[in-house]
Amino acid sequence: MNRINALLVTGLVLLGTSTFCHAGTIDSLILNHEVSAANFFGTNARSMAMGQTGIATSLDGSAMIYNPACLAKVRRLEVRGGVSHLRLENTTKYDGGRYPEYGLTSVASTGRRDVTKTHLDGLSVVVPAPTYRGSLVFGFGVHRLKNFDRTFKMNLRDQAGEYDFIEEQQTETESGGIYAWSGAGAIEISPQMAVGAGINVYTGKAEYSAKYMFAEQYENEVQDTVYYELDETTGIELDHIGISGSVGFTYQASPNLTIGAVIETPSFWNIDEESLVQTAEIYDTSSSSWYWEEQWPEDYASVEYKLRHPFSFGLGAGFSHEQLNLALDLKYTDWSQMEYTDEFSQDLNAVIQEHYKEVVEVRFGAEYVLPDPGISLRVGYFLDPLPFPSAYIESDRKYFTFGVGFLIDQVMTIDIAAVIGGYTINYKNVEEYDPPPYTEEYKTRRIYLTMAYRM
Amino acid sequence: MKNIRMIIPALMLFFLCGVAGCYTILKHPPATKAGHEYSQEYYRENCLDCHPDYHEYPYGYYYGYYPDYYFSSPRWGRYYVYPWWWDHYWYDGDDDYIEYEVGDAHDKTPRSRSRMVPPYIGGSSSSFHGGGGSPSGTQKPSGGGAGTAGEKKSETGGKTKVTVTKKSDSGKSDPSTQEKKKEEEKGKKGSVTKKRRR
Repeated sequence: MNRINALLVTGLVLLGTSTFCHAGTIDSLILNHEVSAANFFGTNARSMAMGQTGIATSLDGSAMIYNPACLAKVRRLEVRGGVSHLRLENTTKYDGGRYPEYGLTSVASTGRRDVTKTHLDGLSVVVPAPTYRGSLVFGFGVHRLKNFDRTFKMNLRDQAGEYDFIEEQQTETESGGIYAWSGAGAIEISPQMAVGAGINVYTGKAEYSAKYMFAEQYENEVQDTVYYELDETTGIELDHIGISGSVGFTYQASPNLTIGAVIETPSFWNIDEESLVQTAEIYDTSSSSWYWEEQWPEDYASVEYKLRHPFSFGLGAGFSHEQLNLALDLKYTDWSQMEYTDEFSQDLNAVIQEHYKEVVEVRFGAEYVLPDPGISLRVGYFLDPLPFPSAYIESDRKYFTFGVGFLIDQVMTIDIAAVIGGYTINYKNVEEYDPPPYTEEYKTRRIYLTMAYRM
Repeated sequence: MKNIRMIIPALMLFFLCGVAGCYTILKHPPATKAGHEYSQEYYRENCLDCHPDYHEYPYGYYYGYYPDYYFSSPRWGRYYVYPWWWDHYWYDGDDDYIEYEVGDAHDKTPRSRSRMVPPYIGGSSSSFHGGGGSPSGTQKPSGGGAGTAGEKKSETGGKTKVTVTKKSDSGKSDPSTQEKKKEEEKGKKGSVTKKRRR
């Protein structure tokens, strides 16, 4: 392989595995989707233990996020806070044998990397107003809604004999998240019905760093051993700020059945992106006592763009019988309606409309209360589909949840939840210079701890 | 900014539509008797003097559907249902604070936080359905956790209504109302009839 082809492959591989899609190829846009889209991390240990449900069954300040109308059920002043812990394992496997035409065989084709992060999950205050009849409740809080923590590692080596090889390594680390600063209110408009509305202001940052190394060594026509290495370090930082609203209602249809619905308005985002790329090359031959090293000028770029997320519609039901509570939530979002609203990104919108899809999130949970010891046992399951075509998805995002809650005296609850699951995406070689086919598998384990005190 | 101008007014309009002419009542409408006006505290503590059916739909509390264990294990009910403005400290220092008798008739025990009985259950002779109801409900009276005389308990699908019978009138109500009650009771046969609102 000559040097020009090596550089071209390098560039496309880098773009193909880059997480930020604003300036990528179509496949990069699809595989490494807009980081703020379809990336709800979930909040509140009780809701997460019950399969991330809450549209009809929220009983605390997390209703600001799931369905503001549920705030009307809160009768006491509440202060609530929590933390979340994430462990993410990435395993990447490439189909071996990328360069059989050069007599090279694959000796390494798997990368594996883990990351763990602990964050503030949320803080909220709920204030019910004294009433003679009905309910009027206000809530204020901050919740971590989106998580950008991710890691990726690629390790490829194709070799022939002792001296000829082509090696590529890439390590990516992403961190950050989006916090929603929320204010919401709910009011009962009949003995069985409540309505609520909320407004969310989003702030957050995503930080991406990657180190890429490409190296090849071969014997040329004059039997001189040639060594070439390309090292590239990339850093990208995105500052997000956004706003959205939500309206919802709940209806207690019978002693055992509660129905809820919520509409989340489009969210409007302003994103500032700064990137820095540093590249260096080394060229060496065995016949020379010198080697050549070039440090490219730093490539700094700064861009600001606007993004709009589409409407989301949620429907939930809660069924209770004695000590058993069941919850089912469905949430629909048509991600093909997501669009960049600045004038410089219109070419990407056509790609989004064609390749992103509508998704229906399905969430199910159950809770069994042991009144005397003050313990609640919870399990759940939820499906959180990725927003891009299923041809790239080998296994979609699905999670199993379980947890326990404690009612301490009559003023405090402590809830713990665990969420286990993951997904696998598959990239298939389409064009000649596309990256080789590979599978990215992500396994996540999340722990939530929430405490609430009611005065 | 255009986006904010779109979202906020829409949400406020939605919320105001919910509030206007709403079922939820934040302030008692003024009611005068014999030229005497009453404070909001009086309305809260003595609502049964004028509204003997306050415990029924659509007034009062516990008319929603709550699981039985909220009343049989009162700390659940205290955490999830009992409004904060009914707590003891709300009336702290108030000479009109009503105490009720629990257990032994000679004991006067201040209302404890473990009880699920509303504070306006103090002295009148009316009964209170503590477990809620609905306009078309078919729930039977039931109870749990109140501990006072005349308590009945039944269950419907795990949901509880509590019936509490007051032992005596604490005498804290307005004198004119007391007199009116005496006149009314003369015509009664000495028992309260529970009526289902249709």
